[in-house]
Amino acid sequence: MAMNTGAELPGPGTGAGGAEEPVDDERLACGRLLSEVWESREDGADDPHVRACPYCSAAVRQLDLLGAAVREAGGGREQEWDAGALTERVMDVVRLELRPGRPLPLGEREEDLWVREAMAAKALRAAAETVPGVRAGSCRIRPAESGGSPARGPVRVRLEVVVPLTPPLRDVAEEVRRRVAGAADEALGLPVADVDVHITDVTDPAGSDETERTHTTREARGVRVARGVQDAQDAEEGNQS
Amino acid sequence: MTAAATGRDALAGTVARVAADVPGVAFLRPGLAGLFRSSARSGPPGAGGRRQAAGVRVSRASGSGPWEVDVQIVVRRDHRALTVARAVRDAVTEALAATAPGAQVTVTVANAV
Repeated sequence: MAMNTGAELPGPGTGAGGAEEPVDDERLACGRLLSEVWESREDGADDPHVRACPYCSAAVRQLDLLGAAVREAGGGREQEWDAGALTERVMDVVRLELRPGRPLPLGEREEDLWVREAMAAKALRAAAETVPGVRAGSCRIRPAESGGSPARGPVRVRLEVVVPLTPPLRDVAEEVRRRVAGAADEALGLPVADVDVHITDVTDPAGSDETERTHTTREARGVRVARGVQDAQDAEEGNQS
Repeated sequence: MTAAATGRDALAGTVARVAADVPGVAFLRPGLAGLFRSSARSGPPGAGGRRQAAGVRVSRASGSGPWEVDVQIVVRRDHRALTVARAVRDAVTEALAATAPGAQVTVTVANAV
């Protein structure tokens, strides 16, 4: 009888009773994970279920209220300095606290050490942006193999980047991938099976819109060059359904 | 019951102290999410609002079973997350060797600053 622990959430370990869900990844009454609902909201996805479901819409409202409160807190007085950057940092911390993401395995398979997805994604995005001109967008990290929840074993990284329009786009993607894989190992200790780099847009040094030249290819090692963010999202949704 | 709860809190306190002292640990996870959710959630408050040390959860499946210790840490950015997590696990395991032998220690790196 776990009398003294009944109200507490299980850790990510494989302790008695089997932890079904990460500590902070709350499952709503409709069966969706809170993190997924918030994630899809932030990604701007138009999900019919979320619109119709009272639990999901309540969760989305909470996130909106939080955002509004933070904006309001900074908006009521004369601003002599750039409050935007500070607000962004505060939101970053709050968001990471509220939505740390799923636990991902650190180290060897038999260890019980974890890192939160949001923190890992932040580190990997930063690594990608060490490549000159590259800006990193969405970074999703998922177990490479399906299995227990949460699963141990290497993960698969899917990173969206905007890169400067230089002829060998593939070389840029390759360099991004190399640095991301390097950071996963050196900064985190997160075993990675694959890094998929999706180029969602290109920036032209002259500032003109040159997305027409990009094309879609997929190498065996997983570099994908898609045209436009929407295309990539569509492709992703297509893969999932 | 009270004695058990006291033992658990003492254990959590030890874990928090030891973990926070490990090089590379900035602090234990503040647990802001818990505070936010406890006010937002309509469900029953857990155990009369009892609060363990922030960032540490100590539990036990049964009265005689091994303790399960869950530590959530925030690491310093210039440290490798895995190295710090291992050091925390080892330090906590060692600190509990006498009072809670065989404790299962789980370490989660929640953030880096």
